[in-house]
Amino acid sequence: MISFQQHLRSHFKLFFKRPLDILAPALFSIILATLLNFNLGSLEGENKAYVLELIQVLVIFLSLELCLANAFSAESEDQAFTYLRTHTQSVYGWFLAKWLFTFAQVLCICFLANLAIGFFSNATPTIFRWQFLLATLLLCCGLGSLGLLLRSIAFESRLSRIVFSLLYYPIASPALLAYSNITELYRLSAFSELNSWLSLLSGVTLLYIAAGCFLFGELNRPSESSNS
Amino acid sequence: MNAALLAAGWILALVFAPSDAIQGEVYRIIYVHVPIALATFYVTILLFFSSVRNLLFSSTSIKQDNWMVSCVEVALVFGILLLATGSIWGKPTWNVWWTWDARLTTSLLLVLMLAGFLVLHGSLPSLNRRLRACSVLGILITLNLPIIYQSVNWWRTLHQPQSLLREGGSTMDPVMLRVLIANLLIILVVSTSMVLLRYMVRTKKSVVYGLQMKGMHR
Repeated sequence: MISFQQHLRSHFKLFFKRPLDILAPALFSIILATLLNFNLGSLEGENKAYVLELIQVLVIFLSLELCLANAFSAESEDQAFTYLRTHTQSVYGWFLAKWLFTFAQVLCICFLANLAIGFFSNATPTIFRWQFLLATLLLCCGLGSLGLLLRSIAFESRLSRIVFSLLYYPIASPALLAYSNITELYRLSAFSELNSWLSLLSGVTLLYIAAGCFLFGELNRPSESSNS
Repeated sequence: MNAALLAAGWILALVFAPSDAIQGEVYRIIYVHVPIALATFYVTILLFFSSVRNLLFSSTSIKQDNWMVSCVEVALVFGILLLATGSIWGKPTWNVWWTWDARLTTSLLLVLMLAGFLVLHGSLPSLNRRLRACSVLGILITLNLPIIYQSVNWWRTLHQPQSLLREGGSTMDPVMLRVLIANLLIILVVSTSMVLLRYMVRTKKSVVYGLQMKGMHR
């Protein structure tokens, strides 16, 4: 029986085996952020903060997209996905390990890119302020879980790329709407209304994680026909 | 029978329901638009129950697959009609065919998800895998229904708030309300029979396909 720890260990081994998976998107995000920051020279105050926020959100989505695109790259080699599905293992452990790994990857990329944003723009990126940070962490948790679930749904599809893109953002819309409202209210300093959106985002995130855990297990449990 | 029921509903709407004090005759599209919205929700909820059943009982039957796709096809047709009738109503009342209002956007997202379901279904070759993947997706799609329903309360939108299920009861004229309820009941019958008809067609198709495959292997 393959346990959660074994899954996690194998995923993080991959992390050190293929550092380019992290470095390439991080570098890309840094270059993007740096280039955009050069255009901020003439901007001041609120406008600058607004553009910085946009860059940060862009980096988050870019890193999520790249991490999710590679989420099943290891399993797609040598029919490992089919093998893993027929093997006795903790499917919840498999999902949780993969989710933690994706989350860690996204955090690494975002952290590196935001350091660069802060350095070049000579300002503290809003992501390092606690309410914004909390909302961003919740968004990454939720979207990471949902993305993994949808990747595994679309894994054997002949049109996996189209199916994923067609489904991911519409299904993630509650989290995206809550996050966009949080960023707007944060910018307007309307902190009293912020909590209701944070609660919605937390609720939706929990729902995505729960759906990910249970439905990923259902989706990839060993089938009787494959075992026989 | 469906056509007769729909015609009866439309006669009630065009002849018996009074004109609206503000919108005049234009408002009569409510008797098409609101029932279509209900039908979209209703058939999507049927999809949810079917998906949960498939996952709980580890179904591998082609019948379950046919039932799910029939629900999605009918929900998609109603979803597109919902957007179309909303646009037709929007032009004279809001002066635009389309606006990125919360209710309109969330309804469009539902239509996209239903279309995505059909794309996924058509691109998975194995029945077992297809049933599981589509059941999971069916549940995820249905999770968005409460958000569409609550969108007019959560966001300040151009779309009017709920007319029927609201605190303190409906503010509609009793005759208008009765005609609307009659149309809602009619659409429930029509949508159920549409799903059943589509399911029967799909089942017959799969039987014919099975016979053809047998013939090819002989």
